[in-house]
Amino acid sequence: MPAVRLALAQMNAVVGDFARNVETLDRFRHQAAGVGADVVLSPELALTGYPPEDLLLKEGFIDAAELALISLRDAEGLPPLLVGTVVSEAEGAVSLAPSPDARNVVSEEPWPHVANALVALSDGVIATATKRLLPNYEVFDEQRYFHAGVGPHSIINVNGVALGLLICEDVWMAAGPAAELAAQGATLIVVANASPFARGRREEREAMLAERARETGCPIAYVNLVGGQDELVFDGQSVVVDATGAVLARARAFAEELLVVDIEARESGAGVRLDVAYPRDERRARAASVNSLAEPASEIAEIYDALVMGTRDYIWKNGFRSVVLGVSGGVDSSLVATIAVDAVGARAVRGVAMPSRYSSPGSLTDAYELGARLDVEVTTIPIEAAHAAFAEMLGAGLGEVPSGLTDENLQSRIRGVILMAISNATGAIVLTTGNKSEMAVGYSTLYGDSAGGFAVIKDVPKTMVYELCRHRNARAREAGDPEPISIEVLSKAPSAELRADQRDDQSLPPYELLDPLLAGYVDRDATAGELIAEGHDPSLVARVARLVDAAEYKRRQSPPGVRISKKAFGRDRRMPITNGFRVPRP
Amino acid sequence: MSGEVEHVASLVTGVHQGLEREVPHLEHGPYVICLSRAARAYAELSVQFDPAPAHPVVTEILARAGAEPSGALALYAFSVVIGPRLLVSLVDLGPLDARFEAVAEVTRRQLRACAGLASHPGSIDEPGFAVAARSLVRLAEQTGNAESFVLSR
Repeated sequence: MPAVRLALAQMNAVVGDFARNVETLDRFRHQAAGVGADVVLSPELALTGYPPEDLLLKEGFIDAAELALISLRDAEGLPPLLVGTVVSEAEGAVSLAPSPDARNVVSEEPWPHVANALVALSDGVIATATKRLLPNYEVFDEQRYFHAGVGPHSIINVNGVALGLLICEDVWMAAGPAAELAAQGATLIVVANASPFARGRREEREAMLAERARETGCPIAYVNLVGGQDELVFDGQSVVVDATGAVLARARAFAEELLVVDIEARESGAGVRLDVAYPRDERRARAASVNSLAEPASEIAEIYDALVMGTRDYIWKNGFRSVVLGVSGGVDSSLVATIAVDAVGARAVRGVAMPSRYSSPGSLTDAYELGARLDVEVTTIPIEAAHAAFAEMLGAGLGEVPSGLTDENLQSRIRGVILMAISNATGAIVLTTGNKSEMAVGYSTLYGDSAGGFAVIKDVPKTMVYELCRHRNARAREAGDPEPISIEVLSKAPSAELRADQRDDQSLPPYELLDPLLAGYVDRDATAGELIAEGHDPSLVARVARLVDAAEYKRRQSPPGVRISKKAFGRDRRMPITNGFRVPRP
Repeated sequence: MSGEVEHVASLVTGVHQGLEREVPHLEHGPYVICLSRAARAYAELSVQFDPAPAHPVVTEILARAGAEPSGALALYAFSVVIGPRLLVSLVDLGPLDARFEAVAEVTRRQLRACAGLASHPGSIDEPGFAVAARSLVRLAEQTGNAESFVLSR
């Protein structure tokens, strides 16, 4: 059987930074030339970054993508490149669906008439594949921007192997574009992807690819983007399966990598012939790492790594050099500080302890201990003077000294003001430390602990916060390093310490009960009635549902954070703030 | 492949390869973008035909036009010299093959896109442009392609 050497460029693209993305593609292409690859395959929209969102409505952005594509054309001595980008066609282009199309609801705007494309470059453009199936669920919004591809599929022929070109969603449909390609003579399916991380996604992808390989009788090469983009983290884990669905090669998670794979496939005369002109036999003999197979990590390890990469990329891609966060001695801020150190290094992290009259001595000690373990500078700024001043000022205005929730939130807001002031003074971005359980039920203070630039663990339920801490400590032990999070932090009862002897479980159900309920109400979109029918306590369900619904206005104002689930607050879950929907009990 | 189909395929290949060769060296953004999109469109067309050698006159016209760095002359070559002759050639050949209509449609579409640039300030006003432009037309005429790209038998 004939074979091709594919180089899958698992790259970290930056949305809109064409110069950088061209440079990255060039770097991978040169690396691929060094190992004698026949073809280099980039991820989906590698040239523009993914997702470009409303940048796609700017004609200038589409033009810039075209110019960037031109700069990749002249590449003598380098292997051909299949590059993901946007292409614009005049309205009525034969390769794009006219509006409206059965598979696509298109914009009323006639321009830009844009497709999500995979362009085959070899001494110029030789073929352009356009994405057929445009996802419009979860975080995806592609029908807002793209016209669907129609017409014959794109196939290129290398050494007698017919490579059928697909883009992401196209490969997910049974009896869909992949099967059509195979029927048109493709013997190897190559798929460019921007598939964001979520719990369990890798297993889902590989199971689907195995099924599609068996359905088409073709091996499949699947290259994924890697890196953070706002809330999304792309995990990489590019993979190649043979025609039986067995995994031949897999790239690492959360790291750039050129995965070089030799793939045998049935001989076929289909497709436009691609002559690979540069000399590569000798280079092939020298290539050390071919068909490498990275072992997948555990789910909790993947989640931790996603949080680190998402945080790191948000910081550097937005031009920040350092971070600041409040460290209370609690488990949430301890985890966020640890993630921050893993993301950007201890020297770029500053912790701020802001004790109040209600802070326990242990909390301050725990905050200092965390700083020592992480080698992070911890600055102490007591809030008592500001708290007293605000109480006096407000007392004069309100006619009584603030108490209860007003006084509790006041303390949280004073801390928010301090952190934002440090951010102004130093240029550091404020990391907030709220978790998903708190965000869900509104157990946070607007303009207080929820104020900041990036909410690292906003998609992490409280019970998983503990799991992640234990996981990180275990990693440290394995590496022979000190555990970053002390047993004191992990064993004490959660408390906001905004009044005397306060504990979270005085305001909220125990997290062991709350988190499964939230998984149902938020992640699965179950109604209160359905949750009661599943056996949850009716009064608890009613209370939690009310809290979740009422906190929508807070969540809408919260910073972005790393998405690790299939239903994160933000793009995944778009609930109205003004919401009168209440489901009666069954 | 019949002679007519091969003829059209060679014209499509000539436009595709000629534009692909010149586009990376041209400088004026709007012209380059327009020609790059045209190159991609003809690439899509060319894969619908069996491989054919590039039409020598089309190749020569685009090569000469590519010597002007802004891309204005290449745009002129495509939109005034080559595109209309290609359309007339297709009319002359008649509806022999379903792919001919696709070639005509793509050509009309690309000509409309180029027309959108007609009022764009650029090298078209520079001295010497008219002379260079006329020489491209003359090349077409002198090779027997005054109104269309004729099929030699």
